Amino acid sequence: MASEITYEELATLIKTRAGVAVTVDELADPGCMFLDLGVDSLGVLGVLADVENRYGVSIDSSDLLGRPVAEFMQTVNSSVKAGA
Amino acid sequence: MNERCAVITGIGVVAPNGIGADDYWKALSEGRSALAPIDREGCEHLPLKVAGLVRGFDAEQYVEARYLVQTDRFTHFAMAAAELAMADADLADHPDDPFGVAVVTAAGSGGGEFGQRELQHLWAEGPHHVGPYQSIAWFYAASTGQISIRGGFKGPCGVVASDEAGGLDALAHAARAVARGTDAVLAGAAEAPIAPYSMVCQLGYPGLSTAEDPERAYRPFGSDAVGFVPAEGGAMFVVEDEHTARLRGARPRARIAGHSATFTGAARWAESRGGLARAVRDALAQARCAPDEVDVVFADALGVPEADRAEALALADVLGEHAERVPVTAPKAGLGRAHCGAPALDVAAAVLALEHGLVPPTPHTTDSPHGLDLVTGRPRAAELRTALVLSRGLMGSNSALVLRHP
Repeated sequence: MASEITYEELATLIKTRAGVAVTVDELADPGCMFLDLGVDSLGVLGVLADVENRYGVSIDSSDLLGRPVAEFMQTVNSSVKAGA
Repeated sequence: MNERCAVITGIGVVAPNGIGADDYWKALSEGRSALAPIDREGCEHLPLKVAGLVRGFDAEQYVEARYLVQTDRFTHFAMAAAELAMADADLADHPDDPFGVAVVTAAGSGGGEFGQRELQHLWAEGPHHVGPYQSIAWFYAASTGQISIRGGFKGPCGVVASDEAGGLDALAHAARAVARGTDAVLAGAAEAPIAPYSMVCQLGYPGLSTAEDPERAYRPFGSDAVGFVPAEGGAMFVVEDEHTARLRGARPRARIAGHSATFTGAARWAESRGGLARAVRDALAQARCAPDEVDVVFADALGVPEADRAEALALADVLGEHAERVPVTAPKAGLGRAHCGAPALDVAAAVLALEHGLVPPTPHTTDSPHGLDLVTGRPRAAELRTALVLSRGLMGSNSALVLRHP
């Protein structure tokens, strides 16, 4: 299993979990916020739960809500790597 | 004009016999029945065999995917119906003032199908596999919330939880909001109770018909009535102040002239006679409408003989001899009862009947021993100015709504 989540995977997760179609370019924009994409906090929690279930890790959501996508990716990937 | 008057300016329908007011009316006026065997996965072994199922409904045609993933089918119906009603009323580009538009819905059971799926995740895989949208999707208030979020409607929103009759009470609630100063209210009800868990919840209703033949399963007021069958779907309306509506060029379709509601206890049908009669009397008084001015009655029509008798007697109690002459109809005999959505669909039928001067028939029922002039078989042309819509809930609510042609 890959030990890092890519923007492509995140886009797929956002589509299935939050019903929002986003491009990799939008996600990779350093200032990109979930809410600007139309993904609310419950949508972010759904994406996060999916990642946690998939990689068998536990990530504290209170550090992630309201944070930019780039920070979300950083936190999630460091947890996944640490847990792998 | 100094007295604000609530009118219906837009109708949105998602029904087993048609999506959109035009298709719905065509099916109603032809007396077409949509009752069918329940063919949904996981429902095959249940004793309930016939229902009114919405077919060919593509939620994405009306609502963005991000609302669909977080909502149950009952909210998909309500959001689609609200969208159709707004388009019908040409309200889409109207609200410059978000506080001037409100949303009021009624719901009996909430998101059963969504909830069942998430509960299955819970027991099969554990709590961490329950999606976060479970927290809102099952909730009976979800449709009001999502319609208001999607449209940015920040007026006095509400949810009526008053049993099946709540479908009428929601419109009365909307009319009161309009009287108090709100420009427009999206009001109505939709339900989606035809899924395994939701169906099991209904199996205890003593009036439920378990007949297997769609032709015979629901024959309200008939001498061969054996109970009712459930349905999914509902209707939403744009309710506005008449003066404000005319100013923006909208067409008032019907006035919400009077309403009253009473409570007489679960399945105490004989007692519903008095409760329903009182509701009708008060609604007519509010509408300043004499009993013989009622031109058509859209009956609750439960299909349980004791309840049908009580409804016929209630009409006789209030309308006197006029109860034998006024055309009474129950188009829901061809749809099934969509719980709170059922009276909302009846209001849509009543507004369309007033417009077309045509009383749609009661499908399936052929004879009626209750002394009413039940319209069966074919539609009946009539000059219609005032319609009375009745609803009773299985838990004891009774409600009456008077609609008048503007």
